[in-house]
Amino acid sequence: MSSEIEIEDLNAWFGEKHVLKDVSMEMEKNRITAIIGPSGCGKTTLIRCINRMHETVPEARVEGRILLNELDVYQEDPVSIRSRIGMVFQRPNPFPTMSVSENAVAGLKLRGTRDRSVLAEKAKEVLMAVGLWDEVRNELNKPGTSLSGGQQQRLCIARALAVEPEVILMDEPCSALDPVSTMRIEDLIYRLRENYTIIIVTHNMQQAARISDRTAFLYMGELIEYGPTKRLFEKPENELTERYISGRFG
Amino acid sequence: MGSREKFDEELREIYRMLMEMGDIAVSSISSAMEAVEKLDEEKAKVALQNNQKSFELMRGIEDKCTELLMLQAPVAGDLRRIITAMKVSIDLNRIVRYAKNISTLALDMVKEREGHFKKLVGLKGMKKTTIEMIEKAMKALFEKDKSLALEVYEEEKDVDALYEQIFRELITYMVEDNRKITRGVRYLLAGRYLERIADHACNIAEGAIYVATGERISPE
Ligand SMILES: Nc1ncnc2c1ncn2[C@@H]1O[C@H](COP(=O)(O)OP(=O)(O)O)[C@@H](O)[C@H]1O
Ligand SMILES: [Mg+2]
Repeated sequence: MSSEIEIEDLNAWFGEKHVLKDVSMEMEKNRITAIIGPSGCGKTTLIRCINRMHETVPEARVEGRILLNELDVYQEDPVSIRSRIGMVFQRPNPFPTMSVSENAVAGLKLRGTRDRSVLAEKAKEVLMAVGLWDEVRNELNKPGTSLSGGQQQRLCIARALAVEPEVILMDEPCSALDPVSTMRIEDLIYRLRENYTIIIVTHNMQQAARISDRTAFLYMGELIEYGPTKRLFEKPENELTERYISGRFG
Repeated sequence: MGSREKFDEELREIYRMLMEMGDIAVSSISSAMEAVEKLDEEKAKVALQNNQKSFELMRGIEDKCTELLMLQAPVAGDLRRIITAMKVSIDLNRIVRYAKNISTLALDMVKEREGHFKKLVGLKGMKKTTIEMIEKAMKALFEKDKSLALEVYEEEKDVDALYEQIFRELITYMVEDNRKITRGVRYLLAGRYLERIADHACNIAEGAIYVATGERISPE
């Protein structure tokens, strides 16, 4: 099952620092939403508010509402929210002490699944889903960190899929990867859209243009423009958006 | 120079070339029609020579645009300007070719060693309006002026009406006197080429609107 997200008047702070200002937007079900904007504009903070990771930072604060299928995320147990909203980070971060297959189902194990055959079955399923199975089927017991960067990132996506989330947040998932691995991840993200709602932060404009259905442009904590990707890249409505996407910023 | 400045510089050069093509197109029409009006061989040759120059500029614009698309992956206003430059250069080059066709008609008439059997009021009117349309469309393109571009569409109606009028009038002449058929058909063809030119001027106006607003206007 996939879900839609509604953000209403979201504000976020780090101590006194106001980093998200009255952001309201909806992310559609089974669609890829890209978030672009210059560094420091609040992209990471925005997606970390969605799965309630922002509040884990000391002094950090959130106001406003985020609804996951009309359910207020901030009225729920954060742990259950984080299992429904998975996250993939900028640098591939497989658990260094775990093998490839252990990594793939680490989240599941953490949530109490112990049955080895269930775990093995799930590992195969998610490794297949990310197109890694054929590459690693004979190396399942090697450390996850022994894989190439692109394979590690796909492993991390597999790990996120294993707990069967509805939404997947990705924070610049390709920025540490070479172009070929980047293309494979993009293909994967595009395929995942069938079953998940995806929100991807990217500083690569072409990537946003290639894979996303809608694009949001954030600037200094404000949502400047949000619309269908094709429209935003062909005729942005806001002058700031135009300047940013055509590389004429600051 | 940063890569964005280089990009802007290249884009300005493309538009400078486009402006040159616009000037060539206008001067080709005006020489070709002067050749027709005055049965002037020299004027006819001017339009013939312009053809090559226009073609080279069009190719140059195509190369530069392809390079920018390939290397810079432009978006938004930049993308619209590049795509439009390529399309408009093709329209302008077609206009120059129609002017060349008109010059060829003039040369044929020169060879026939006969004066005009009528005053070419209609054709002159068509010439004047088509030139105005091209100038307006190019100005709209450079100044991102949608309402000016829309005026071009209005003027196309005048050109069509004039052509229709010339058509009827010439048919009457030719029916009355079959010795006028050869020359009459040449006048008619000149009118037909001017009418095609007006059509291409509208395409340029369409490009101007796309650059200015991102809208794609479809001619009714
Ligand atoms: N842990 C933190 N403590 C204090 N300020 C932070 C912290 N993380 C990020 N910030 C600040 O919050 C703003 C938004 O950061 P972030 O959401 O990471 O931006 P982006 O992902 O768009 O680069 C920036 O000004 C950044 O310096
Ligand atoms: Mg970030």
